[in-house]
Amino acid sequence: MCDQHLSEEERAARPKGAVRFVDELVVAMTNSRIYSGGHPRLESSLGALVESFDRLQGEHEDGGFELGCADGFLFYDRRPLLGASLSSRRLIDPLVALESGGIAFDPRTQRDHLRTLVAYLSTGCKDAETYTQANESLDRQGCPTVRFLPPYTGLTGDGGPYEVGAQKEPSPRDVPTESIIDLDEDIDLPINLYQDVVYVLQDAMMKTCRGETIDVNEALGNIEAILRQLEVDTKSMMSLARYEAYDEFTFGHSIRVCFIALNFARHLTDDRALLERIGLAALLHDIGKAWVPFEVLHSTGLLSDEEREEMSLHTVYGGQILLDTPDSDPLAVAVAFSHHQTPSGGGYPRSVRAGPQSAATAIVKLCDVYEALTAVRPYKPRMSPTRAYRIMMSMQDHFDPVLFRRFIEVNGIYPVGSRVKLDSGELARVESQTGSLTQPVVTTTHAASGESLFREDAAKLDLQTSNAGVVEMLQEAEM
Amino acid sequence: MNLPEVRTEDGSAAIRFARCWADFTKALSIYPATNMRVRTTLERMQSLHAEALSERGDAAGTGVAVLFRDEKLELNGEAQEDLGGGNLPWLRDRLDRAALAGVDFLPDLDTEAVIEFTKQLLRAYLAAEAHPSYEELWPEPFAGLALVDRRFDGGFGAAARGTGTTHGRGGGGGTARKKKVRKRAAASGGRRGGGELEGEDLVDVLMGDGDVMIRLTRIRALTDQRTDSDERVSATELLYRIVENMPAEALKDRRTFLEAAHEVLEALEVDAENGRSDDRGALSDDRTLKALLHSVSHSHFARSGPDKTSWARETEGENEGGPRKARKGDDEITDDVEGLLEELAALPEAANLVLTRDEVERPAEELTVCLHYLTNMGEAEQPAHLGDTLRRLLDTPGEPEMEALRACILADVARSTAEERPVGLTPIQSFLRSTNNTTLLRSCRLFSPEWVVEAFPRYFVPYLESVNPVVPAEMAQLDEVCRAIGPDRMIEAARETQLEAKLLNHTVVTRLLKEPTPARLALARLCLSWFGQPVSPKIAVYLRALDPEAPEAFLLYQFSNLADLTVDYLLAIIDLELGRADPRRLRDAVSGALCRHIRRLGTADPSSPERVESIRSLGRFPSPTANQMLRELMRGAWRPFSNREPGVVRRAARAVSRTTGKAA
Repeated sequence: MCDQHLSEEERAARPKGAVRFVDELVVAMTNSRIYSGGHPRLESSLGALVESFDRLQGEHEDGGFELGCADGFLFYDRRPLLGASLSSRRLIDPLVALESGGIAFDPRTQRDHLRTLVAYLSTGCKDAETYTQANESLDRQGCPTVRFLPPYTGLTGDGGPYEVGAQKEPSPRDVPTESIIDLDEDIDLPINLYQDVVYVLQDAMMKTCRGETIDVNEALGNIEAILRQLEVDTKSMMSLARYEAYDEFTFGHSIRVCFIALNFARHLTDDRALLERIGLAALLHDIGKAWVPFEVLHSTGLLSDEEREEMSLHTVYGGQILLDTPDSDPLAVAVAFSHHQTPSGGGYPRSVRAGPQSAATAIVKLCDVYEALTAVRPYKPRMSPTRAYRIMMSMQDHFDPVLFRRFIEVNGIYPVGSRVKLDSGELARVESQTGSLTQPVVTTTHAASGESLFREDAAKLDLQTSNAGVVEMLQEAEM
Repeated sequence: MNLPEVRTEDGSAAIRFARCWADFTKALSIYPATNMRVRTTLERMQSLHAEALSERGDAAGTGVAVLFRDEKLELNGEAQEDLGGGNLPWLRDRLDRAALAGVDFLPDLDTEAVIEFTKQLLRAYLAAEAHPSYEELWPEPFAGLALVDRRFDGGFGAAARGTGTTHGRGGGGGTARKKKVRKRAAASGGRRGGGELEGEDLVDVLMGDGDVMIRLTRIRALTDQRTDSDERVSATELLYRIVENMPAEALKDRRTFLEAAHEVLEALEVDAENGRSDDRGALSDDRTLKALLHSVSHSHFARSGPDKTSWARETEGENEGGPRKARKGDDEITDDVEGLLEELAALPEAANLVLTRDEVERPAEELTVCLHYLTNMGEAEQPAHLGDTLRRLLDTPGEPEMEALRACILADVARSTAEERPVGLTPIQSFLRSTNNTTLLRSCRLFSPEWVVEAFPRYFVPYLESVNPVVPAEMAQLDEVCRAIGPDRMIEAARETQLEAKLLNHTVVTRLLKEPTPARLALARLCLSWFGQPVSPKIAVYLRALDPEAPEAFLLYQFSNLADLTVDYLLAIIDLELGRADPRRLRDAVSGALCRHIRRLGTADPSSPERVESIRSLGRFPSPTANQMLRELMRGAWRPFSNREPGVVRRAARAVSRTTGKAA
């Protein structure tokens, strides 16, 4: 996951174009579920898809390329697209259902072919049971240049990482000679859980855009799973909370706020039912953005007064959307509505205030601002937690001071799951916080030489008692 | 609280004027200046002022002086027996807080000046916590009004006319204020708003905002501590300075303008408390008002460049997770871990923080959010499960939820009044009614006498519904409320409350009139206006028990069937009792009731003594209606299936006709 130890060339070789293509493909698939054919939004996303496709095609001499799929991941050029895979469940699911190893794009592929593919994928390829039947269906729809691929061979029995030198007879789609999962093995990322949550949020957004009511029960199931995962392995969960890639539909933001809020809240109460409700409220706190015009939501420049006004309505919309659902939880409604209000009565929307803000709202508000400050956006670099906390300090009466202090203590200057550089030159991953914010418990992952360490060679250090200290926190790279 | 009694309109023109002034002030504290109620009261005030002036017949130039001294009302220098009743004690309180003993209303009374003065008086009441002085509150005179300083000790008469010694600074020069205002306005560029604020004096807009004035008072209090008295400047100068420097984009609508002003004032308050940073960011200990004035011109609107205000810049990052308000720019905040640890140490201890369920989840917050949707969306637009959620939240509400409900209802009332929306069921009220929750309203303490009177006519109907006629304390409270509201307001509210009253069960309301208390006369009139004929018999019983002295009230006792008493008649009798008699209307009402009675009995028992008595009574109240009736009786033309009345009837009719000299 961390490429700090790679050379410039190796880093440059990372499949950025493929990630972009996958993102655009998923966006187009989502838009085709929301908008009818010919809608400007759909056409625009198709245009972006074609653009990224053309760029990717340009990287290949013959103009054709493959997008692989195995074990819940997408692959490109034999490298896993972990980041893209996290939010591409909607693309991966039909491929898995067809037992397909991916999609191949012929050099002759044109816009209409991509349109057909998008439409077909967004329906889940329901008219086919195998990849062969899916290809026949594409032929019938006039799309001969895109093919669903046979599955990868050489999978281990338990679906685990691929093994070099598989026993089976070689086939055109044999596993590559090198390990294609270039992941550090110090953590097991709960990828499927993340994908599930993205899927649920995407679904909620689409339903909201179409004016349908959302079903929160599925989301509640995810929240339970997140809580369990946090209890069992905080590090892996919070690592995903630090994932960098920016996604078009702000799902990542909501998911990360949910992770951070749940991790924080579980240090404040043992009440499981309450924690689940807080998690759900955090996950859905920005659901109102589904009703904010796209151009406003994704504007990268300064908003005009009218646009700012429209943007601020997402809180009112959010409460409204949740109140439209059966058995809506008033806690989630209140959080969606109030999370941009300040305890002193400021903020928006303007409304009657009676009494103090609930801790649930205050928690989500804290996590929302923190995530927004520390997340990657196309137009700004990532901010360190330290600087984020200091900026939040300067926001005077926006946060409850006791809660804010506890948040910093729980979240830490070096949050759990983040990667740090020690004064020995070694790289390490933060395991847990201690009583000292600058001295967490870490596990080394790379030697000072840059070589990654095997698990058995990694050392767990409590920096309060060891001689080592943190020099700096490292940025995660896009996977 | 003992609510004052309302006396009927007796007494001299001066006392009536004083009461009217108090009523006007009270009305303006509730309704906007354009409200009909306010305007009507002001017109009456003008008329009474003229009457009082002519009543005095003194030398030209003297006005109508209304002062409060030593717990007594003083009219034109003469002490009255008491405070005068009605809203006068309330007015006295407002004047006292504004460092005034009273006002001399000069002959050239200017109604707009009266409105301006009253607004300032009400604002001064809000800002009174810091005890500003007379000079600070009343720097400018008002046309046609001579304000009397509370400090004044000498005899009023001479001093008010400029011959006294320590007379408070009054005005009197109508043009003087306008000149000064024009000059100041010119200095500020005659700053008027655009768009929604088109033509409005922006300083006036600020002075009309209670929060602005409260903050201004706090700034004043903070800076006065550091300034010698002879160096003090007017705090309103701060408002002028803010208006002068406000960027154009802030003036496009009221909300943006007020938000910008609030931000600057908030920053100034912090500066006043902690010390300013100058243009270069250096901290200064100069926390006088003069220094703040300077900083308005040079710092607060120049922080982010020539064409942006701080408030515009600070909302830049809103789509990144919320607005940020930093004393320094975000760019200046660094990654400094040591700095963070220092700042963290300044926060309260939190290591053992454990949250209870009641802290994590606040039903009061949830309730206010749901009520926001209820009050801000039409029924068709409301979320599908809003009602269910509200019902759940109000199923077993605790004290915080009741406070939340109260706050929302009060806000709803205030907004309805400010927008001059007609009285009717507000969304909250409709919802509560649908859930049979008058009990909830009671639990919100929304039926305290003070609030019912203050909010009248809003929520008066639900209040009536909630009164239990068998509980003497509640009935006594009802009397207090009726007295405090006063017959005029109650009568005026008949039309406004008509819609709401449709949902009332009129038998519930007429039960309230079982006791013959005069305080509820206006309430009886209201009931008649709402329900008409179905309640007439009960109202008649109530009036009978009151035993009115007017001769016209004889019908209450003469008719054996009280249903024969018309609504017009009963209204006329009530008005007579309330001192609002209209003789012609009364006469017509009596004769109308008699005619109706005669017609009805003509079918059942045409020659009954009761009918003959009614015919004879027509002679006491001659009217065109009565004459027509008599002609018909003499002709006998109206009686179905017969062309003749019984002889006794015709004879009685003829006798009456002769008496009135209007024979057919």
